[in-house]
Amino acid sequence: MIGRGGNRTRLLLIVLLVTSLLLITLDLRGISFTKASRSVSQTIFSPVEKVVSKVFSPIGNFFSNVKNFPRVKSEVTQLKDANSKLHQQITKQQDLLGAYTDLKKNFDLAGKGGLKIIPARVIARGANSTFVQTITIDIGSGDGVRSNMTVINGDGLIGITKLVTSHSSVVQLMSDPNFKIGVRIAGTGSAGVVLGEGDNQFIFQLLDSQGNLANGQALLSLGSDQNRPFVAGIPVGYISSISTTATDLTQSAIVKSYANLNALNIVSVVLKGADHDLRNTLVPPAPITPTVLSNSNSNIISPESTTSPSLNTSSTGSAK
Amino acid sequence: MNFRKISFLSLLLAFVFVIQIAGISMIHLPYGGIPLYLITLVILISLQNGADCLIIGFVGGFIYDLNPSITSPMGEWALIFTIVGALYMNYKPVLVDILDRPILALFIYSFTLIVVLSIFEIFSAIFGGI
Repeated sequence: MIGRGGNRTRLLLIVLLVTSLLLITLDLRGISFTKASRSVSQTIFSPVEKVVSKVFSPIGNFFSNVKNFPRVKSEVTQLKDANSKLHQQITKQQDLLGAYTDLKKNFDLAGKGGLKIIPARVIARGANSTFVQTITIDIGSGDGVRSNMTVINGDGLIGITKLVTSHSSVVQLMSDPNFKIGVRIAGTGSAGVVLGEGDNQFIFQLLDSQGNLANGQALLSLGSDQNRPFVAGIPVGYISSISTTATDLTQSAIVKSYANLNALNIVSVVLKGADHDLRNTLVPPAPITPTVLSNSNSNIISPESTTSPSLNTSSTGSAK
Repeated sequence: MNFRKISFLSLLLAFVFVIQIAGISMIHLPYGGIPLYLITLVILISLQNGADCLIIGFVGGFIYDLNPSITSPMGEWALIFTIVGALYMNYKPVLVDILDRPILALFIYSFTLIVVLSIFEIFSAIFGGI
């Protein structure tokens, strides 16, 4: 039937077939002509291809998204789960880190003073029928805790145990309005009483009529018989301002506690006090605060101790 | 043989070729997407008469050979579509009635594409490179 087109068609067919075979042969022989033609075609078509590609890319992306949707959805779910787990881990690690830091500070303080302590975690906070300011800790008589024991944290005094059950104890915070503790001013030895006021500020009443009060003086617990309820030498707070007036019979001052009673996590119950007199061993170092110098180099900021809790040795009285 | 017609059809094929390599290839459909160019070329060949089938087949195959992304030897697609053109040229009188019926025409075109791809596989096995 190929003869239907006549000899010219037959000849054309042969020519085209031979041309095709020639092209194939040249290409297989590695003649650069064929490669060159493809690169030329790419050069010619590439601008058009770019335009067409821009037109088709949204469609391509759509089909790609549809094709990959189940996989992407699954990946998103997995990543969300992983993210949630990581957040949980971070929260847990932060909690552990905070607990570790608190615990370390507790042991540092106890180690410095030679105190035997048992650490506990604060599990509740609130008031009961007897006391306004209390916390509940997760250790009790089963751990050796008895009522009227000193409770401290890494910064200083927290309160005393009051109601002790086998596995938990209620601690009366030193901020409780019924709380009173005998203290002495570190360095001078002047004694006084610190009274709870319901927050982190306390009233200090100086019993020594000859004693001098100054801002920043550190107050340490005087201690009780058999170390109950108070172990001697525990940092209680520092004088933040003096509130004595001319008509007052006793000198008084506003005291700030060393421990932040509003952020308690790990505390410790002192099971046994120090074998020796602690005196001023546990007085916290005075914090360093930047002060702007007032001389010509006024832009220089130098670390300098300010009216922070410190061991006042200039006052009258002898440090025993 | 109408030179203007051949030129116009060649331009049309070049346009479809660009759509194929820059457009359809971008969609990432299964099995490489729709062989729009091959379908268009088969349809154009089937619509020609006499020697035009051969020329369109050869030109269309040659354009497809210019595709930089294929690894088959240059001239292989020209050879394949020249053969397809020769088949259509010879059997067009038989197929005329069938091509007037869309469903049957669809069947014929599909069958042609199968033949084209089969020939391609055979030639690739002979010449090497797919």
